[in-house]
Amino acid sequence: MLQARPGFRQFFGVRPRDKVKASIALRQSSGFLFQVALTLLGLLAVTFFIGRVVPIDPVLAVVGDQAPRDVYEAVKRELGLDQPLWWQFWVYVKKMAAGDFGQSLLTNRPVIEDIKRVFPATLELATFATIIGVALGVPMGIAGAVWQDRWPDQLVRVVGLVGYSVPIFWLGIIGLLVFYGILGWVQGPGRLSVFFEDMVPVVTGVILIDAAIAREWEVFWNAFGHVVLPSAVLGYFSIAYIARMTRSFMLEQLNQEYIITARAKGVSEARIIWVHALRNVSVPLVTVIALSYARLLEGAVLTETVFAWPGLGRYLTTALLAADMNAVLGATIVVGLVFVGINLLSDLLYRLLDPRAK
Amino acid sequence: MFPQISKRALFTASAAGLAAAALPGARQAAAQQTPRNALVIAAQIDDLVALDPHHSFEVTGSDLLKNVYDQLFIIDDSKPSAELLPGLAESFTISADGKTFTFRIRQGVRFHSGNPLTAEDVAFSLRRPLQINRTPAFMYRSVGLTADNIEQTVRQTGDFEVQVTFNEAYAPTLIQNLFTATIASVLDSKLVLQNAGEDRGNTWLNRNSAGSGAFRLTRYQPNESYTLDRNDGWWRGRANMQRVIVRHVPEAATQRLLLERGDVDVARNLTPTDIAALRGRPGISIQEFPRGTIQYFSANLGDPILSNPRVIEALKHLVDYDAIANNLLPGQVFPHQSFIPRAILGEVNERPWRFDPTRARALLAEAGHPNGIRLTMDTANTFPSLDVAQALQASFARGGVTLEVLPATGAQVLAKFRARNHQLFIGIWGLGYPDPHYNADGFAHNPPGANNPGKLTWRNNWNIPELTARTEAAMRERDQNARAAIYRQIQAEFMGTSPFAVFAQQQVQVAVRSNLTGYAASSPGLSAILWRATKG
Amino acid sequence: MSDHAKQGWRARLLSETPRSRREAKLGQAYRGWLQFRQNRLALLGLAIVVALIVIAVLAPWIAPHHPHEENLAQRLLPPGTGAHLLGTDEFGRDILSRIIYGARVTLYIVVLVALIAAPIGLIVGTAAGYLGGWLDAALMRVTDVFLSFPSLILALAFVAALGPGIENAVIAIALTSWPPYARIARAETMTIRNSDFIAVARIQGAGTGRILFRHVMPLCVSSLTVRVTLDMAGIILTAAGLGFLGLGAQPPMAEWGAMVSSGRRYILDQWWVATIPGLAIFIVSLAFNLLGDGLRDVLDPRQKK
Repeated sequence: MLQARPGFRQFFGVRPRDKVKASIALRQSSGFLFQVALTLLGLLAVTFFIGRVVPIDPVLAVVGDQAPRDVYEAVKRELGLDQPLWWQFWVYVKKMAAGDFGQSLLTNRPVIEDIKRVFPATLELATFATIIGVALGVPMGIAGAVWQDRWPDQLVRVVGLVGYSVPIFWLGIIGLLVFYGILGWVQGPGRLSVFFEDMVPVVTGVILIDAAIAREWEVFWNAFGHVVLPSAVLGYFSIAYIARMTRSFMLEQLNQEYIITARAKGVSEARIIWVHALRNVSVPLVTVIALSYARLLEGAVLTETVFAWPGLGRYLTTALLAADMNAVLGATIVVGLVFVGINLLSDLLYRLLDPRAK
Repeated sequence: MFPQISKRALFTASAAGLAAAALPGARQAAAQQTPRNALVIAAQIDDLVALDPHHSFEVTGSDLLKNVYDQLFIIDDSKPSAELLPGLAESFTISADGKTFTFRIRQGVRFHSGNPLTAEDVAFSLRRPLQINRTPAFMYRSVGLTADNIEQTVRQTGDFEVQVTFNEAYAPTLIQNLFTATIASVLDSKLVLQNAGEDRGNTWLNRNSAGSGAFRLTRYQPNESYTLDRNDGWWRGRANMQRVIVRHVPEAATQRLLLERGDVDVARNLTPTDIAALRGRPGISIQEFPRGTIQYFSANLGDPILSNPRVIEALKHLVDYDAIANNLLPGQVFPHQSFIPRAILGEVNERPWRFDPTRARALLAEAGHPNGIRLTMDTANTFPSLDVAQALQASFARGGVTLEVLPATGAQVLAKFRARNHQLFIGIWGLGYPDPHYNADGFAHNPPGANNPGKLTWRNNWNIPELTARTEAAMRERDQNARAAIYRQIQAEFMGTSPFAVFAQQQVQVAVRSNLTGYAASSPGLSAILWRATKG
Repeated sequence: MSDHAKQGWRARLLSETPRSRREAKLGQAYRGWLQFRQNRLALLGLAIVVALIVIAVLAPWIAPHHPHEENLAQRLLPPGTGAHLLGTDEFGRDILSRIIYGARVTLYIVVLVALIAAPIGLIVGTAAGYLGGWLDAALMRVTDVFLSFPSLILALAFVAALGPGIENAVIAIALTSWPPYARIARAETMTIRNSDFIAVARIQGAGTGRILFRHVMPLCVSSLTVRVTLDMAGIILTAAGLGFLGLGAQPPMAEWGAMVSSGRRYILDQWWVATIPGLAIFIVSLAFNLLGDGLRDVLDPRQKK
C-alpha cells in the first residue's frame, strides 16, 4: 500500500510520525527552544550572507541615480556598510535581540512597523486560500479515493493537476478580467476600495476581523469582496495539493482490516468514510494542511503583484531586489517563526486528534 | 481653520454605489463612479523612497511634493512651455556684480499648520538641503552654495526678505528655474524643528508634510497609497478636489480594469496597446502630456572597441528611430535626438541621425571591423528600457553588430554604470528643474579630474574640456537668446560626436474617466498638477 | 515468423526464471512497461514529453521563422495572420517559432535542474540517513534552513547574486529544490540502513562509500525519479515566475515563462501573446505530472495492488 512506505510522507515534505514524536519530546525539554533559536540564527546568517554577496548596492537604492561621490560615501557610512561583514552581522544580531529590527531603506520606516502592516495582509489571504483549499480539496480527495480509478477520480486528478500546472500570475490576470472586469462579481485589486480605507481602527491588522470588531459591516463586505478572488486563485494550488494527499491517505485507510470488518458488520458506507476512515486520516491530513498553510504565509509574490496586495511576499521581494537588508532579514525571521509556529500548532493538533500520541 | 474632511462624509457620498458593490453578486456590471469631490489615481509609486522634499529625487516624488509644498518660483501650468511666474518670492533684485539675489517673500501665506510663512522659513529651507546632504544637494552646489558657506551665503535680511549670494553672476533665469525645483520647497521651520530628531527632521518629513501648498499629506503607506487633502487656505486659490488618493497598482492590466470599472478616475501607467484599446471607449478619454525625460544609450569610451569614433557613428546609424517611436512605443515617446527636451530653453528639433545599416557597415569596416563586432548592453529589466534594448538588438544585427542584452535590477545596472564597467548602457534621464543647464550639466560637462560618478560624461569617459567651458559660460549668459544660442551650439556638437545616442523624449499618456478635466499627469514644471482637476 | 519470434522474446522477458541478471532486469522493466501502458493518462503524458523532446531536437528544421527575427511593423498580429500560425508578439516575432525553440529552453531547464538537484539531495540524504549522529543532525539542520525559505525568494536571491540569465536561474532553482530530495533519500535510507543485505555487505568488508553508492543509493533512485518527475511542473513554473519578475531567461531568448510574463502587458487585447506560451507551460507541466503519477504506480513496488 501507498501509505505503508515510511518514506511517503517525507516524499511530500510531510514529517513522519516518529519525527513528530521526537519533536514533541524535544519541545518538552529546553533543547527545543535551543534548536529553534539555532535554526533561526542559521536562517539569519544565510540571509545576511546572501544579502551581502548580492551585487546590489543598497546605498544606490537610497541616494539614486545622480548622486555625487561624497553623498554616496556619507550614506554608506551612515548605514554602517563600511564596516567588516562579521561586525555588521554582530551589530544586527545584537540589536535584534533587543527587539530592534532597524529601519527599512525603501520605506524609511522601522521594519517592525512595516511587517505589522504587510503580514496581516498575507495572513488574511493565506487563511482564506487555505479555507478554500480544505473545503474543496478534502471532499475531492475523498471522492477520488472512494471511486478510485473511476471517472470522479480521474476528474479530481485532472482538476488537481491543472492546479499544479498553470502559471499563477496568468490565472490571476484572467480571473481579474473575468470576475472583476466583465462580470463584476468581486471587488478589484487591493485589500479595500479606497473610500473604505482607515474607516476601522487597526486592532489586528486583518481587515475582516477589525471590521467585525468595529461592527462596520460595509467595510467587512468590501474587504471580503476583495479577498475572494486572490485567495481563490491561490487556493486552487492548495486544493490540488490537499486533494492529492487526502486521496492517498484515504486509500490507505479504506483497505485496512477495520474498514472491511466494519463493512462486514453492515455499517453504512457514509459512516465508514466520514467517521471511521476520516478520523484516522485526520492526523496526517492536519500536517499536510499546516504545511501548505505555512507555505502560503510566506507570501505569494506573484499573486500579490497581480492583485496589488500589499503582503509579505511583495515586501520581501522588493526589499531583496534593492538589497534593503534590514527589511529582508526582518521578513525572513517572520517566515522562520511562522514555520516553527505552524509546526508547533500541528504537533498540538496531532496530540489532540491522535489518542495514541498521549 | 483647516477643517478635517470627515471620512464619514466622503464615505456617504460614495456609499450608495460602493456598499451595494461590496456584496459579491449584488453588483451590476455597469461602471460606477468615484465621489465627485475626490480624485482617485491608479499609478506605480513603488519608487517613492523619500518624502522629504530636500531628499526626494524621483519623478513620483515631485508629483506628490509639488502639490504639497510651494517653491520660490512657479512654472506657469497653463502654458505649454516652461514660463516662470513668481511663487513664494513675490519679486527679486540682483546686485550690481550679479552675484547676490534679494528675494522679497510673499506676505500672508500660511502653512498647513497655521504658522505664518516668513523669511525665516525660507532661509531655513534654502540651507537645509546642504545640511542634510542628500543627492539633490548637488543642484545647489553647482551654483556655489556649500554646507560650509551656507550660513553666510543665505541670509535673512528682513521679516520677508532673504538674500542669497552665489559664487558667480549666473543667468537670472537659471536661478529662478532652479528655485522652482522640489529641492527649493519652503518648509514650516517651526513645525520641522519641533519634530526634528538628530537628522534635521529627515525621518519625520519622510512620513509627514510641513508645507503650504495646495494639498497636505494626510496618509502615506509605502508601496500602497497616499492621500492628499485640500488646503482650503492656499494662497493661489482653492483646489477643486477635496481629496486626492493615489494608489499603487503595479500591473498595467490591473490599472486598466480599475479604470474601466470606474473604481479609479485615472490610470497612470498604461501600455500603448491599452491606450489604443481604450481610445474612443465611451466614458474614457486619453490625455497626453509631454515630459522632460529623454531616453538614450551611451557608449563607454574607455572600451577599446568603442573608443573609435567611427564605431560610435555606426551605432548611431543602427537605431531605428522611427520604428521605436511609432511602432514599439507609440504615443509614449516621440523622436528626439538632443539632450535638451522640448518645451525647455535651447531646445533643438533637428534630427541628424537616420537608421542606415549600410552606412553603419561601411563605417565599421573603416574602423577595422569588416566582420562586425560584439557588444553588451546593460539595461534595467523594466519597461521601456528592456523593450528598446531588444529592438536595438534586432536593428544592430542588421549592421553587423551582435548585441548581448544584460538586464538586471535598476540598482544593479546603475552600480555597473557608475563604476564604468559597461560597454553600452541604455537609460532614461529626467530633468531635475526646467532649465537647460540641468541636462547640459549631465551630458556636456565633465571638469577634468572631477572624478564624479554622478555625471553621465564621467561614466562614459568622455573628456571634453572645451564643451565643459562652454557649458559653464552658458550658466553666466544673462541674455536669454544668447544663452539659448550657446545651448544650440553645444547640442550640435553633442549630437555629432558624443558617445550618447539620444533617441526619444517621453510623453505621459494617461486614460481618464471622461468627466475629469484639468488634471495634468505631467507639466513643464515637471510634476503632476492636481489642483486644477475638476469633475463634470 | 516474426510473430513467433516476438512471442518467444516476450515469453523470455516475462519468464519467472530469468537466465541471467541482465535478463532479469530487462524482464522487470518490461513488466513495468506493461503496467505503465495500462494507465492511459500516463501514456498521454509520456507521449507529450516525447513530443517535447522531438520538437526541441528538430527545432531549427520545423520552425517557420527564426525565433529572434523582429519586425516592428508586424507586431501583435492575431493567430492565423499570413505566415504566422499563432500570431506575433510585441516585437513582431513569430510566436509558433518561439514556442518551438522555447521547447529547447524548457527541456534544458528541467533536465539541468534534475541533474543538479537530485544528486545533491541523494548524497546529502543518504549520507545523513546512513551515517546518522552529528552529521545527520547538521545536514538536516541545513536542509531545514533551506526548506524554511520560500523557494522563489531563495531563487531570487541566488539569481540576484549570480546575475540574471537562464543558466543562473537553473542553478538557483536547483539549489532551492534539493532539500525535499534529501529528506526523501534520508527517510528511505533509514528504512534500509539496518536491513540484512546492508549488514552482509558490511561484513564482506565493503566500505561506507561503497555501501552508500552501490547499495543504498540505487534503492533510493526510483522514489526520487518519481518525485523529480512530479516536480518538473513546479520547476517550469518557478522558472516562469522568475521570468515574471524579470530575472529569468534574458531577451531575446524564447523562454515560455518570460514570454507569458512580457505578454501579460497585452493580455486584455492581444490574449494570444501571453496565453499561447501559458498553454505550452500548462500542457508540458500536465504531461510531467501525468507521467510522474504513472511512474509512481510502476516504480513503487509497495504500492502494487
